[in-house]
Amino acid sequence: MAPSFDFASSLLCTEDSAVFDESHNNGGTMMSMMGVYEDTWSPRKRHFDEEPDELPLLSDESLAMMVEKECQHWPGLRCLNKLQTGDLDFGARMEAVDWILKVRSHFGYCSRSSLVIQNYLDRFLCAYELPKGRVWTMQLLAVACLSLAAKLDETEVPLSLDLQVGESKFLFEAKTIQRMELLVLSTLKWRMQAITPFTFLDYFLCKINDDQSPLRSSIMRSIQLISSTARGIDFLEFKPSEIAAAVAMYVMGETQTVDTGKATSFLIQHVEKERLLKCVKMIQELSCNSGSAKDSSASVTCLPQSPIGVLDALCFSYKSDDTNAGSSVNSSHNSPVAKRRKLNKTCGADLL
Amino acid sequence: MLTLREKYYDFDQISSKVFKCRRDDQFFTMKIVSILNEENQANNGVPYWIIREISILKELDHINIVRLIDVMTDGPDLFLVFEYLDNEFQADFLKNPKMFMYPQMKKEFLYQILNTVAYLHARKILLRDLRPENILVNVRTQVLKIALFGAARTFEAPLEAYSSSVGCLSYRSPEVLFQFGCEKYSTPNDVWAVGCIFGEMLLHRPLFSGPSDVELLDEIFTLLGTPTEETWPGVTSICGTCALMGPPQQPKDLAKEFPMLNPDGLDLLSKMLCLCPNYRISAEDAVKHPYFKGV
Repeated sequence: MAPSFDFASSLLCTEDSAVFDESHNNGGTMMSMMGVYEDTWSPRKRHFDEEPDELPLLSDESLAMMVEKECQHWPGLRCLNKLQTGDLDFGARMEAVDWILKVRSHFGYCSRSSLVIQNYLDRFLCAYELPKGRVWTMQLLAVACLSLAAKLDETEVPLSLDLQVGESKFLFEAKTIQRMELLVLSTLKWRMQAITPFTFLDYFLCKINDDQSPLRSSIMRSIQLISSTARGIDFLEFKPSEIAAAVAMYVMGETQTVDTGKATSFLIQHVEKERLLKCVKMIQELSCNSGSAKDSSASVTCLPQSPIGVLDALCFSYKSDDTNAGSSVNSSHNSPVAKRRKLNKTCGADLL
Repeated sequence: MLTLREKYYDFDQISSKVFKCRRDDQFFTMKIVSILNEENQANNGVPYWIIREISILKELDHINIVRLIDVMTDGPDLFLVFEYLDNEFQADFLKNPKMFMYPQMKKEFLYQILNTVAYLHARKILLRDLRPENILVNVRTQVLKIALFGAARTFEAPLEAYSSSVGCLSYRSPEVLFQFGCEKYSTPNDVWAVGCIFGEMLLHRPLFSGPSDVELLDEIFTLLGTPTEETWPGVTSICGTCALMGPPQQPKDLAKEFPMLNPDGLDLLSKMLCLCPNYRISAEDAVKHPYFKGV
């Protein structure tokens, strides 16, 4: 009796699987049942060994809800417009973004973090006018946004002072950072659950792969490309779902595993076709300029050079065998730390 | 912007840092959180658990989740304004003896918990600390509220290691108990916790109560059988050392352990307490289970 129970229990488990949509076997002889048993177990074992842990995919309803919600968190067009008209200091923002990418790399944070931090930065800049002529305020804002993202998403949160690594002209007191944190939090109305392309990536990759889990290499490649879009302002015009759809389509097309026409017809149910195709083209140009997927060293990109003039190549490097898929290689850069001026309280008081 | 005292008035203290207050004709619960008093956080800005709890609650609008309406700052303090729950809402819902008078009420409350978990998972939010203490219940209106989201967080691809020491031990899933070296888990952990709560509603005691990971796993395997590569593909590589597995045990007959439960209920319980996280039923599927027909 016990063996039968085990067998039934196994079948019950099989039915619960979210990975395979297998038809039920409602009858038949014991031999048939044994056959079903053998057939269903082999693919599962093989799948488990080859693929990363299953993620619960967004359901179709959840996706629609996320697409609707992302507009509330997406500063893209407003931010782009401000940058283009000069209302926002392009150079200062670029410098802040470069610093964010370096610090993220230093602490080994996942790729999503840099997009989250930029989301905070851009949303804040669209909603709050920093005092003109105080160059340190953008740096303080970057530090605060980095700190907030680390606290929200990472398991290890460095001390505020330790966050200020890399070439920075200013060093802020912990109390000053906290006041800026509170200002960012209230300005963003404590809505810190940023929606990024990573929110949609797994859903799109899975769907255009005929509901099969994508290969780890496809996920890694997608992460790399999405992270690359964070540089410059070219991709600010696209919503996270559009970037995710374009990257998924490009990556799966790159591996020649899917029909691009079929993929397009699926994806345009969720994003506008013209914008999707435009974004795919830009992803393609970005990919060509940053070298092939297998080339671990980055070449010069077509994106605007940062005011610092140095591109942190390691931000684009991923080892295909990295078990920590979300992290870039830690920087081994050992340049002497630039001299930093410590601000007194009055500077913070003026701003906050 | 209105200041705190301009916006809310008629403060009435409930406990040391919790007040009832009013605005127009509505009552609210105001909770004071001091940012600067955190010993280890004094030099690290706004504490991470505050940011997580508030930012997640801000996204949620569900009848079974205590609603955060407003956040205000005043110097070193944060003022969190929640919907007001009157005295009819009692904390730690499994301590309420009225719970067990009506079998239909168990089903109703279980459904509300699963509905809430499905709602959260659809938004890529993990609860991670679901247990009776965090659940308030109004027996008269049969409405349940889940409070306290300090342990909750979002999840994104690819899965990464999360904090391991999260959640009450009794409601922790086997994959979490196994993986204290590599805490990689997701929504099935929350569903397991609901399964434990379901079992607790039926038995009037915690389903598993071992004081340590090893003892807890032993209790789990005593009831559900020791996992094998057939029942849980990959389990040997996950648990690392076979010492955690203990001697092989056969699963008990759930129908004999839970005689009060009908076949549909047994089916649902067994699927929520499935050892393999990949095979465990999702909250989204659980709310559609035949056991809830008529709810």
